[in-house]
Order: sequence, then C-alpha cells, then structure tokens
Amino acid sequence: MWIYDRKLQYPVKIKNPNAAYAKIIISQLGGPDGEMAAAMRYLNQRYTAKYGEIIGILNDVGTEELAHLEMIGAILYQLTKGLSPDQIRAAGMDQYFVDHTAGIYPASAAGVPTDMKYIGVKGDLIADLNEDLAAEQKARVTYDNILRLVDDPDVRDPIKYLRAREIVHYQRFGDALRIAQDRMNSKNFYAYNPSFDKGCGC
Amino acid sequence: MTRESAFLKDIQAEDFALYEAALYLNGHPTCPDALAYYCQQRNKVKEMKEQYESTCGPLTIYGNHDQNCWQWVSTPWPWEKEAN
Amino acid sequence: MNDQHNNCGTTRTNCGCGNARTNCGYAVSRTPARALCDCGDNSWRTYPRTGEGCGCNNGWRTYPRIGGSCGCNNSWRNYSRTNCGCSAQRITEQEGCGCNRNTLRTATETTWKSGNCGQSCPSPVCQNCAQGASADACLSGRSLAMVYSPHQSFENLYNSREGLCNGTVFCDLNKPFLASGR
Repeated sequence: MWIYDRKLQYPVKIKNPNAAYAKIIISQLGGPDGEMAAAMRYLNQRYTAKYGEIIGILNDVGTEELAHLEMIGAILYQLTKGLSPDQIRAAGMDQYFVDHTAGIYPASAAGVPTDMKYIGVKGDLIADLNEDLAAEQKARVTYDNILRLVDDPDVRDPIKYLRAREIVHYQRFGDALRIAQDRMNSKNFYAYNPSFDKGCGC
Repeated sequence: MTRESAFLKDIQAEDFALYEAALYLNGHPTCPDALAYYCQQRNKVKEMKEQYESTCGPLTIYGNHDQNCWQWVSTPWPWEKEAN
Repeated sequence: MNDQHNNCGTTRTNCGCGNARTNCGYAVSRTPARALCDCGDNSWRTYPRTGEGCGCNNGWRTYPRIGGSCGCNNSWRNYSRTNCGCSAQRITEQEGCGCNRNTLRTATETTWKSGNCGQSCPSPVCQNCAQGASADACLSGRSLAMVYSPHQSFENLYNSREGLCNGTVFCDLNKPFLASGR
C-alpha cells in the first residue's frame, strides 16, 4: 500500500499564474507520455514481473511517478490559481474552463482525457522492460518540448528536475534489462517468458 | 522563507538522495558502497523527520505529534505555494 | 622438521609440523603464530590451492585478511582475487575468483568486490569491456537480437542539495537540455 509523504519531491513555487503554460504542461499529467501513464504502466507491470530486483525497480519507479504527477498537479494548480475569466479566455483556456473550471483534469494538451491505451502491459518481461525504456525517453522529449515553450524560471525549474528524473529512470530500466539478461539464457532470450511460462528454470 | 520551509527543503534534499540510493540498490543489491551510503542517509533522514514532526507538523498520517490538535488537516498541503 | 612451531620456517616447504605436510599444516592442537608459518591455525584445514599459499577450507571462514594470508568470507567475496580464492558457492570460470555460474564476466576487474561481479558475457575471454574500449569491442560476443545497458558504478556523487537541484545525485546521469537557449 502507499503511505502519503506530505511534501513534494521537489519544491514548486510559481509567482506568476499563466494559463497558456498550464495548457501545455497538462500533457505531462494526462497525456500519452505523462506521469499518470507512467505510474499506471509500471505499477501494473510489477505484478507479473520476475526477479526481485526488477519488481523493485517497477515498484519504486512507479511510486516515484505518483510523486511526479503530484508535482505536475501542483504546477498546474499554481499556474491557474487566481486567474480571471478574461485571462483564461486570452490564454485560450476557455474550452477547458467551461468543463472543468480551474479543476485539474488529467488530459493532454490537445484536450484528450487520459487513456489506458497509452500504456503497455504485455506480461512478458523483456517486452515490458523495452516499453518502459521507450516510455522514459518519450517523457524526456515531452519535457524538452515544454522547456522550448516556457520562459518563466519558476516553472522551468521543477520541469528541469522532472526531465532529469526521466533520464535516471532510463538507466534504472537499463539495469533491470541487464538483470533479466543475466538470469535468462543468452543463447536464446526468447525461448521462454519468465513472467508466464512454467518449468523453464528461470 | 520560513524556518519550516527551510527545514522541509533540507529534508527534501536528504530524502531525495536516500531514494536515489534505494533505486540504485534495486539494480545492484550487493553493492557495498551504495549500502553504506543508504544506511548513512537513512539515519540522517530519520532524525530530521522526527525533529520536523515534533516541531512543525506531521509528514505522514502516522506522524501527528500534537495531542491536542489534528494538524494533519490544518497545515498547508504540499501543492500550495506557502508549503514550498 | 619437528613439531615446534617456532621451527616451522618461513617458507612453506620447510613447514612440516606434526603431520609433516609440504605446505603449512598443523595438527589439530597446534596454535602457531600466523606470522611465522604463513598459515593460521584452524582444525578445519584443507590445504592450499595451487600456488596461492595458504589455502582456505570451503566452509565458514571468517579470518581477517591480514597481509595476504588466509581469510576470506564465505559469502559474497569482496577481496581481491590474488588473496584467498572463492567461496564454495562460486564456480571459478576464469582466472582467479570468478563469478557465480549464472553471472559471467564482461569487465576486466582487478579487484573483486561483491557488487562488482560484472555482467553477462558468453565469451570466456572478457577483456573487451575494459574502460576505453569501443562499443563494438565491448559488445563483441554478445547475443544478437538484444540491447545491452552499461553498468553504472556507485561513484561521483553530488551532495544532497546539489543532487536535488540537478535532479540526480549521480554526476554521470546529469544530462541537461541545452537546446532551449535559456
């Protein structure tokens, strides 16, 4: 189960609300490569994963992604707090506003609500780890793109932090893949799926 | 910055280093250097959190020290600017 | 040769005591000073591995490693392999203290720390992953249809504050985005 740690993993303190920024950054909450998808991906993959080290990586990176989706929520909340309807309209956030007011609703920048179609849980150890490696890279690119579009240092700061975490997670999934390779038969990694097949000596 | 938020920032930094070590250890469970670092950080963080909770407020739902007040619902929530 | 340990001599060939072994062997009741005979005493002896001096038994040794004499932990080895060999669990596949059957070496290691047992390598000659080797050299001999990830050592750490600021405590994982021009 989870115990809630009453602090953000990294501080978020944004002096100037900005609805235009919120419109973009929301993709890291509910978008295809966002933190919510990441958390759901790893936490669901961990049940049938194999080898304690790999399950640990899925469990604990997945848990960290929950902390990250909280940071994105905090960023969006502070970016939209105290805005007037005029400011919201000027930023082009009126379509979101009409359905959600200033509520934080997990969707992409294009307005598509978050979707489990964004995640892969193939139930095969090697396939799932490759999915995870790709996911971390895509998330990193999304943060690169946010940094291309956002100027405010108060916003750039936690975004840079979250981007750095994606790179570290990429290495961690690399560690997981290495462990899988060490435990499996290098003559043929694909003879059996340790997450499912019995009697393979895995 | 208030004393509480300065203290919380210190805890954030030490807790983060601890989590980084733990993630590393998941992939390298027998690494003696990582284990030593983790042990050291864990003791540091534990002490800091105990200090914080007894003077500033709970960090988990199990950490409400004030016998007369359920601070859990009255201290700022982490997404508020004043909590950062 | 006699049973007096202070006559045991400094080289192993002189050392026969009690049971007159050609290496340093002692009867169960003996307690010779280790400095003299280069093997400590223990009733549980199995005598030396070839060329490595004081052999250690395959069981539960916890003698401290002093000056290259006999004492290796029975569990995950963290002694250099020029010292006392490998625990009973290990299967020595390469020179010196190899790694578990399931964990073959790729890196050329000069010290065998417990977390340092190297990565999979199907080839017995795992020289290729030494530092500075090209990616191709490092990966030669690896199975096709797979990607491989380099091993990260636990080193080059920032302090906690810097670590939080950078998003990682590991210098080697700090890869900032430079294209945004700000």
